[in-house]
Amino acid sequence: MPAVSRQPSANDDLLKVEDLRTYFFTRRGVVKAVDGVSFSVAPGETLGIVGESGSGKTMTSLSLLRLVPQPGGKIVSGKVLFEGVDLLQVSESEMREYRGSQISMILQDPMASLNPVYTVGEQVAEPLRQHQHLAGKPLWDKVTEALRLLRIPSPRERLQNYPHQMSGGMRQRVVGGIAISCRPKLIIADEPTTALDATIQAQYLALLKDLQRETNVAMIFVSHDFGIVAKMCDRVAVMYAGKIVETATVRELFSNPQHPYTIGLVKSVPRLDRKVERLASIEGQPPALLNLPPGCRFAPRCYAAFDRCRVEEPPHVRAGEGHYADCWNVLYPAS
Amino acid sequence: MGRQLIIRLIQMAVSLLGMSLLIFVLVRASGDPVDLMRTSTSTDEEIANIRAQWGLDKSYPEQYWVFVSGLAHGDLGSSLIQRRPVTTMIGEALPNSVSLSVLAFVLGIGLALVLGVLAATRRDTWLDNGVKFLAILGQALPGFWVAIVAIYIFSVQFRLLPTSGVGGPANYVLPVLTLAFFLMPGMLRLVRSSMLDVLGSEYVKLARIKGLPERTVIWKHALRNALIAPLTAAGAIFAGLITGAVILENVFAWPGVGRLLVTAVSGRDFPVVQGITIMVAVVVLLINLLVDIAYAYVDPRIRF
Amino acid sequence: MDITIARPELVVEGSGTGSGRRWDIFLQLNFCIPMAVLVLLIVAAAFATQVSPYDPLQTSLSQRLQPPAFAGGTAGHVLGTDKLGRDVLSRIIFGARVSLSVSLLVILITATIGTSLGILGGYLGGFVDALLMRITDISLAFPFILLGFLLAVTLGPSVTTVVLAISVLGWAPYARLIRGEVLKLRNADFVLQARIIGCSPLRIMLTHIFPNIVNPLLILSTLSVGLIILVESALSYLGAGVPPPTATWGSMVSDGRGLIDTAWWISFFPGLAIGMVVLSGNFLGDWLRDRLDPRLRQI
Repeated sequence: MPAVSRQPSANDDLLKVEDLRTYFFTRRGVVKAVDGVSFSVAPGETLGIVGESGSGKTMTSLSLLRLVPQPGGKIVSGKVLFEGVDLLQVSESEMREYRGSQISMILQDPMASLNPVYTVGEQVAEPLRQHQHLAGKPLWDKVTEALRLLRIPSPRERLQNYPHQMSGGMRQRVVGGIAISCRPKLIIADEPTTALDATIQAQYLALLKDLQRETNVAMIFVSHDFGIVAKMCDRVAVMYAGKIVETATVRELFSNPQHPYTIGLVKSVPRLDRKVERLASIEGQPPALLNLPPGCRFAPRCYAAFDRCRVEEPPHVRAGEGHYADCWNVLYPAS
Repeated sequence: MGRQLIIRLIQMAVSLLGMSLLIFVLVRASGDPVDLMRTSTSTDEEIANIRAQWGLDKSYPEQYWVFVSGLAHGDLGSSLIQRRPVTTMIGEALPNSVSLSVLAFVLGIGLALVLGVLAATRRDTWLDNGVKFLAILGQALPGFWVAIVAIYIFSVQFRLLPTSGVGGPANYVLPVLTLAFFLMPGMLRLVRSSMLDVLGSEYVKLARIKGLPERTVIWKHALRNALIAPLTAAGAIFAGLITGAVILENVFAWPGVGRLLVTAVSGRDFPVVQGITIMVAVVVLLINLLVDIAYAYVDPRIRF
Repeated sequence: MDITIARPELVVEGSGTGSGRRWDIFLQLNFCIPMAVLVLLIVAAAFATQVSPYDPLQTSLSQRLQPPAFAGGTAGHVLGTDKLGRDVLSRIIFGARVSLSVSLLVILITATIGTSLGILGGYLGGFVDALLMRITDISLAFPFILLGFLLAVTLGPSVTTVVLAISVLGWAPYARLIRGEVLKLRNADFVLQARIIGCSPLRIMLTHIFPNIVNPLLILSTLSVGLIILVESALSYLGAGVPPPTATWGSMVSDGRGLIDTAWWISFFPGLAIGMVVLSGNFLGDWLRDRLDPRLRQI
């Protein structure tokens, strides 16, 4: 019988998030966007965070950098241990030291992420200027190097270009260049390919993988696309309505999903090698985060929900080596 | 870029020509200007003489040609009342107007920028609400009334400042302050809302992600983009400056071009009115041109 | 639901719960107070002769320069009298008539011209549009006051002159706004649909484009009321508006300028009236904007 247990604390984790809670205080009530999220990332590893829109995955990544939207948002509790240091406790100026140089982020829309009035070169140079205090030739050498890592052709010439002069795929590479320029230990990629054409998507993902191989940077890959996550990640955390419902290695998650939500997601990925009568989908909508029902948040949509699910929040259950799920059914299998 | 400039200059010349035609037609359309000068004892011969003297006996196209060629030489005709060249009269009044306008512009726009940025970065605080209130009030209250109230409070009740006219620095205080107050709200609202938009953008978020200090995020990244929108309104702002100056020069009996204009209107001295209108039209077109150039400089998307 | 998370401020600032109860409108002060002021204005303008305590043109040498009733004057003249003994309150009430009629006329003319030009330019594009934009830009940058003077000096001051002066330049904001909206609509699918089935451009402009720009048009018109009154009063103040002895708010302020040290009320109350009406118009316009199209919200 699977035992209920906590995640073991590993001292060689690069990032360890413990019970992170980020709430939004609005006139209509409290929105619990991130409600008790815990996960870890080892050096060089890629962790995927998967979930629907509104599951809290973007807020989680913004919380790691303490850039929760103001007014209204607040990280109310939890720990974000980066190389042992709790980022939620350091001062704002210390936090700024981490941003861009130790931890950086790639946002979804490359056209919006780049400032239209400054050249591409200037924007990649900025974090280098800020954190490594470089100037002149050493600075521009590193800028060119960053662009080369992202396989941008003729990087020296591109330095003078403005964002609007480049294609979408190129722009997103520039954003990648900004992220890698100071050689951070962790890059958070928030839906980096969603705004790109399908043909460019695969290219970009391959690029990110190469980048990881060359620089050994750890990655948190946030996406709603299960297929992409399967390709890119070593381990995956599935988020629903502000909570992580299942964590496992990619292989384990796809071959042996435990949480009914994950099962639904895995089943819904169309496969080209099998003929399927009907594409599976999960009925219903995610809950409004203002007035959450008691008990498991997925219960209203869950095919396996029983009485206890609707009353008590499920426990954190160990379902295998490095495989955890928050579900009553995993604790007490129906069979 | 150079080609654009040439095109703009040509457009400006065409606009100017169009405007001069419009002004000419408007002025002549009211009827015979000589009638204005007719007295009860005027004889027909006298009228005919005056008509010839003013060149009003020629055909309209000829008159227009005289008018336009006169313009090209900087000749705006002579005042019917003072019998002096209009250009001279404007020349005397202009320095006063310019000193008032420039001071008020710097103060008004400067304040609008600072307050607009502050309000946007400290959203929903008492500062922001105070600024919003100021803008609303400034846009609703008539400028001439505010000036009069100010005169009442500071000159009449407290006897701190003179009520009118030029003189020393004390004379400048009220006119400059009220004109600045007149200019400020429009720009303030624009800067604030533009700044709010920009602060919510992804590239500002990325700037913070890069770990840049807040100061840099606001002044280097946000402001540069936030200024693009108000710049497009610069033409209208400048029109407001002229309007405000004209109104307030009259309230404060400030001997500038505005006061000259109003005196001419009440005396139906149309060469003066016409001359000033043309001069302002030229200035307006020039300013528009400058704004277009500045706009291209600030926003690289226009340049390439 | 993701809107709740990603942009919580939308939840906070959402105005109106859409609960459907019509009488909720009266609970919104933003609407009630300005509306009340404007209703007062309309009543004053329409029923001036009935509402006003005195004839605005009636002079009275014995009652000259009376202060307001609450500042030492007689109870008969609540807001005092001017240098010719005319009752200030009555003149303000009749002044409302001028302000309102000028506003309505100007809005009618400028909205019609501006909207038509805006739709034409926005939809047809090309040279027509470029020309229109050029003229619009210049009209926006040209100080109305000079045109007002020019017309006053040639045509003589009158209501017609004022309306004309403001209208010649006043269509520009409409043209610019409507053109912007049309540009957005032009590429919409339903327009493409209409073209596919063979509608003529005119028909498209009238039946498809126009109904979709009514909202911004309405908002701009409401906001214009205040602006026009400010412009008209400025022209009147400077003597280029409606001539004496007609009571207009602007000319009343002007009359009182010379007497500011002895009879402050002559300038004060008309100016206050202007401010209140303009403020109400602006608030109402903002409220309307919030209700009809939160996307356009600017402050």
